[in-house]
Amino acid sequence: MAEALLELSGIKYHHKIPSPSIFKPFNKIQGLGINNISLNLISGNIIGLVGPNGAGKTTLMKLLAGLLIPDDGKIKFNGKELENIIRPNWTKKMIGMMPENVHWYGSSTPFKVIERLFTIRNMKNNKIEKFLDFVGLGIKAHDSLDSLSQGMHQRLSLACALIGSPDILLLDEPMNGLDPVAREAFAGVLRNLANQGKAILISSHQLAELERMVDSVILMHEGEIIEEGNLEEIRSKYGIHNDLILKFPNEIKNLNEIFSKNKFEHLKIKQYEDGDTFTIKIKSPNEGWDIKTKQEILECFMLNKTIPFDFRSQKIELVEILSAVTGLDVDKVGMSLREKKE
Amino acid sequence: MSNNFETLKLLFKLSKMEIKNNFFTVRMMVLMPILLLFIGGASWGFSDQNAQLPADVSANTPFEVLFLTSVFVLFSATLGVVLIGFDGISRKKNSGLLAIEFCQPTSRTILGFSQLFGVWLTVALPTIIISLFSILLIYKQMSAFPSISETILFIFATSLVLLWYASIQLLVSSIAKDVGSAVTLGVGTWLLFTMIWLLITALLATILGVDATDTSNSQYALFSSKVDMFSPNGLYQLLLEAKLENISRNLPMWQLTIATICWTFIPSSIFIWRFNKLAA
Repeated sequence: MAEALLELSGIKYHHKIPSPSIFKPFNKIQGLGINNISLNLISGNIIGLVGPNGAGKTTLMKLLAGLLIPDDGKIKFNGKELENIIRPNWTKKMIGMMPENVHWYGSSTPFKVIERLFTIRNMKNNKIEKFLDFVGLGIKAHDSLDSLSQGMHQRLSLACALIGSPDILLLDEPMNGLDPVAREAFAGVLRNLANQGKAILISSHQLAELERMVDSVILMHEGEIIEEGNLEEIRSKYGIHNDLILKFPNEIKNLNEIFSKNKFEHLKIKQYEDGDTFTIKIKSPNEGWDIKTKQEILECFMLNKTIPFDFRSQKIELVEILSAVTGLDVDKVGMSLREKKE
Repeated sequence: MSNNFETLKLLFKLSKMEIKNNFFTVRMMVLMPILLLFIGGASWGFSDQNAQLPADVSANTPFEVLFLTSVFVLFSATLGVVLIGFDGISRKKNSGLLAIEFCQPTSRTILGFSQLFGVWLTVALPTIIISLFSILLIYKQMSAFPSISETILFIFATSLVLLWYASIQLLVSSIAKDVGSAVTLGVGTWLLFTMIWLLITALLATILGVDATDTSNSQYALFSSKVDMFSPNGLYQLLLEAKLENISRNLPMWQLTIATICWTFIPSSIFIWRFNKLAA
């Protein structure tokens, strides 16, 4: 069993929101936040932190990084419980944080940015070029920040998190602005780091992009962890399976007839126009798909001489999983506003 | 002991980096000619023996010229601190850079002081150099230098007033939520001490029954000097006045000393305290 580098139990935090009045100009009220969060970050594991906007992902990341101080709960680093509310430096050495959407601008350069952070950490500056090479910024080391692309900015943010080779990496929405090639490279870098024994927590509101990258996921909704574990296990636990998508150049007029003839009348189907083509979406049965059923569906279209030009499983979106886990409607789950927690 | 030395070394390195970053910016390109024209020009003009000055303005000695030049220091160099420091914290906070720096294993106090020294020295160093150059200009015009103690006092007081402004600017910058509020708070505090303070003094005098209609009477002079201790500009002038023989507002030296200590330590301490509490 790999060791837990960081353990949280019963962590609570609520943002303080200014609510001035004439007699209390500096009055603050308790706003949204996170409640009763417990999680372990284990060496060599990549954990995906997933949830819709406002779920509390960034707040949790900031609490882990020591940028916010929890209202309640316990934090242990390497099994040692922290007593002080202010993080000691040795815990900061263990953590590398990549905040969401850092706005890199101005005439400074990646080299100068990293140089400053090296200096703050009292590290020798002779390895900066090599370090920038590692994140693919070597040739841009002395270009101004203004001239770098969004992808380059993300790489620079990642470089900042990697300084000092921390044991725990907290990456808040790191895929924003990365093209598919860069995402692939990024996933490779993360896997390498995990293989070196780092614990990585990576947040995103897009489940699909994390799916291939993480060992397990934590689902957050309205400031709470609502489910955690392997994505496949969560799916089978809640009976969430991929829908089938078939695309045709023309409309299938006798769709119901084809399905009822082949004893598929129990399947929910929907045909809709999709640009110049027609798409048929077949809802997964509760027990999921087996290969034989998929083959038979394809076969019955072929016997009808209507051959699809595309046949695939539709990726399950975060909203569908959240809907299954919370029991809320798909339409409501992303839009529900959190009520003020007492 | 070696730990303290390491901390000081780190503070020095970070401050140097901050100065370097601030120095090669468009803001400094705007500020440098202003400093040169205001401070250099004022000392050249006031030390010109042919210059026609108002009757109550005396510029007969090199230090009197420096004293008059100090008004231009207040208009240019303090504005420079505003220019450099008004978004010193808010910019980093809004860009996310502050969060990255706060995650590093270094105390926020050191980061805060490096920020403070960075803003302060970026303006103070050129101001001091231009002030020394101004002394040469005064010598060229009057064939006399201010005494060493007068020169030290001028440089010391000028450096201090810029430190006070740097503390105030970074403090308000840490309060500002966006660029707009950073500009408003930064320029607002500068306007308060540079333009509006006279009005506040007169208003307070009227409320407290001191005759503010005749600014030359001794009662008002003493009152205004006491109020001036609460303004960095006022205190700067009071410090310089201490060396002038023909101006005396009868303010005891110990009061000036306490005010100077308070202005040096209180705003900077509040800034560091706030910086330590700041949510990134």
